[in-house]
Amino acid sequence: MIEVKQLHKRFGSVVAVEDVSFSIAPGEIVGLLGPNGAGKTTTMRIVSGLVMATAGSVNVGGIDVLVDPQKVQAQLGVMPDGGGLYQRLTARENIAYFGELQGLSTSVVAERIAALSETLGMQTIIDRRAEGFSHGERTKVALARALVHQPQYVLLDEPTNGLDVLTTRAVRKLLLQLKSEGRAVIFSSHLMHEVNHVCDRAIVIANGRVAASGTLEQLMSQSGQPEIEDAFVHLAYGEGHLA
Amino acid sequence: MIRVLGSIVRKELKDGLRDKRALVTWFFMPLFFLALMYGMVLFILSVQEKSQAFKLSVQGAEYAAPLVSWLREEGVTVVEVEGDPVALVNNLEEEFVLVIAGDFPGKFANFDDATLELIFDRSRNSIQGKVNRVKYLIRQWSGRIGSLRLIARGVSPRVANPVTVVDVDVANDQKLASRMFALIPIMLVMTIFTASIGLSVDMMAGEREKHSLEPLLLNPVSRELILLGKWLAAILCTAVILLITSIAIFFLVPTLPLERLGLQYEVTVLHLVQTTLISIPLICLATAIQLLVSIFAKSFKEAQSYISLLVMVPMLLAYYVLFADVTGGWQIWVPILGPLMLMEGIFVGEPGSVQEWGAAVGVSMAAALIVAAFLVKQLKREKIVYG
Repeated sequence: MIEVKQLHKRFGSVVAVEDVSFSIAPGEIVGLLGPNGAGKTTTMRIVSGLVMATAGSVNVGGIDVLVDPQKVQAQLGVMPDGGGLYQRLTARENIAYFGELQGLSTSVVAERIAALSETLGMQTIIDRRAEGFSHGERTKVALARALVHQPQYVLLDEPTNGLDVLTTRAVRKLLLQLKSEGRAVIFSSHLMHEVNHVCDRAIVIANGRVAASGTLEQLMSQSGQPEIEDAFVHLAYGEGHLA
Repeated sequence: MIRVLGSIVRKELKDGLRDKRALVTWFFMPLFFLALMYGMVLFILSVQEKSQAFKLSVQGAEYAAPLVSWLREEGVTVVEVEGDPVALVNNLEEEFVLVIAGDFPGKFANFDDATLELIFDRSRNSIQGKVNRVKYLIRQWSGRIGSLRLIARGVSPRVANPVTVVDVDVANDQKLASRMFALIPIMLVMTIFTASIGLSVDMMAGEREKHSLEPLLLNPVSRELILLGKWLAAILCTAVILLITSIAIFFLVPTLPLERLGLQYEVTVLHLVQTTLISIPLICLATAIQLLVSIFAKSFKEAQSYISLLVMVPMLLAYYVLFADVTGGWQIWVPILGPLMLMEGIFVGEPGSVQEWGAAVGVSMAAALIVAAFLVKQLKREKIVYG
């Protein structure tokens, strides 16, 4: 379980997150939806122990992130927005480095890389240096890097942002595989239809607050909009923005 | 934990070695200084050899054989020239010509007023020194002949020469050459402070610039350990380059044509061991400072411009030690300055006392640890990770 309770985060006078609460069970894929700047990334950073909340608590698998962030991080697989690969290392070296930092042995790392490379279709790029990678290739490597230690909880920040159809499908496939293995996945997006394909439910965040949450059907009926996109706009931005 | 530390160090060195741009900065300083040192020796040699090859064009050398042979003894290359001497000088074929007239031997033998003509163009400034030298040599010869004539008449030469000026030239070439070896410690210190700039900047500012710091910190590894790994990588890089530089000096100095300068200089194994020991705290401090400066920079370029300013500090301190001639005193307690003094001492044969070594090593090492602690604190700031 990931349990987030009454999270607040202030950067100086700017309020980034204001009273966010949700919980995610194993085997669940949850979409964290919201416009740019709504507080999705900040929420994820707090959950992963990189940013300290001003108030509220985060509990991952029974461990308070404030008490033992490293133990939380060992259970988490996080793909932050922007990738951040080492350009002069190959895809394999990038993934292996993080595997070693997670405490895996060389042989286990090699096995995992082989499996992930298969799932994500990275065989042709696995031994190439990251400097020439396309956006999609970078995303795949960053994703593999986040999953190399087989984390129980997976946080993905905008994983399908700017990907082509085939890569998006590969990512979706991977998410469903994680779900079937009983792992919990949170992924953020600013596009509602992304969530439509894989998510069990979605949490809509706007202005640092949870605006709505539930299954897609619930969200649509709650907003009174027949279209997914309209429902999202209605919930995230308010009625005035509907076309 | 040791395994994770090993992974970090290995990754950083591998990453650094693949950075062709930064690799140049790894070896720039040592190469520059080695070339400078070699160039200086060769320059001094060529200046010295040129001054020995002093050429004098003469007409009528046969009329004053004793003078000509004396000039040759003084290292002057006497060359006979034909033709009108005035025309030769005017046409720039000769810089100056010494003309010995046919009546010279007769006048000389009769104690008459024997004259020589030195033909030159006074408007040409570049030859003044040479002309003066010719005049000086001839005057000297003349003085000796005069003295001999007085002695032959039973008169002391001192009657004719009440005052003598003796030249004591302190700006000799040997001194200049020995100065050159004071460059060795400066070279070593500059190597220590510059060798891993590229690597340090890339490990901190580069990591921030390419947004890889956030994913790195998402691993269950303490910031202290990550920093220690990066620090060790920078220390190793600097140490290896310093070692290569030291070995290069060790083998280069004996190949310098020092004996032609009448100079003896040895770089011994003891020198190497002592400098290596005193280098360790300096390396630790230098790399920690590099990392600290680059953590505040948001980009590779920004960090490099900060650090190039920072490099001035050890360089100025090194020159201070070299020219202020400090020994003992409070300076030994100043980080960087203390080890620098000891290093300078090693090469002039004054290796310093055990207490001095303890003080210098201890203070610089403590300073390095303080910088490292401050670094860890910075790495825990959200502003540094995301700023």
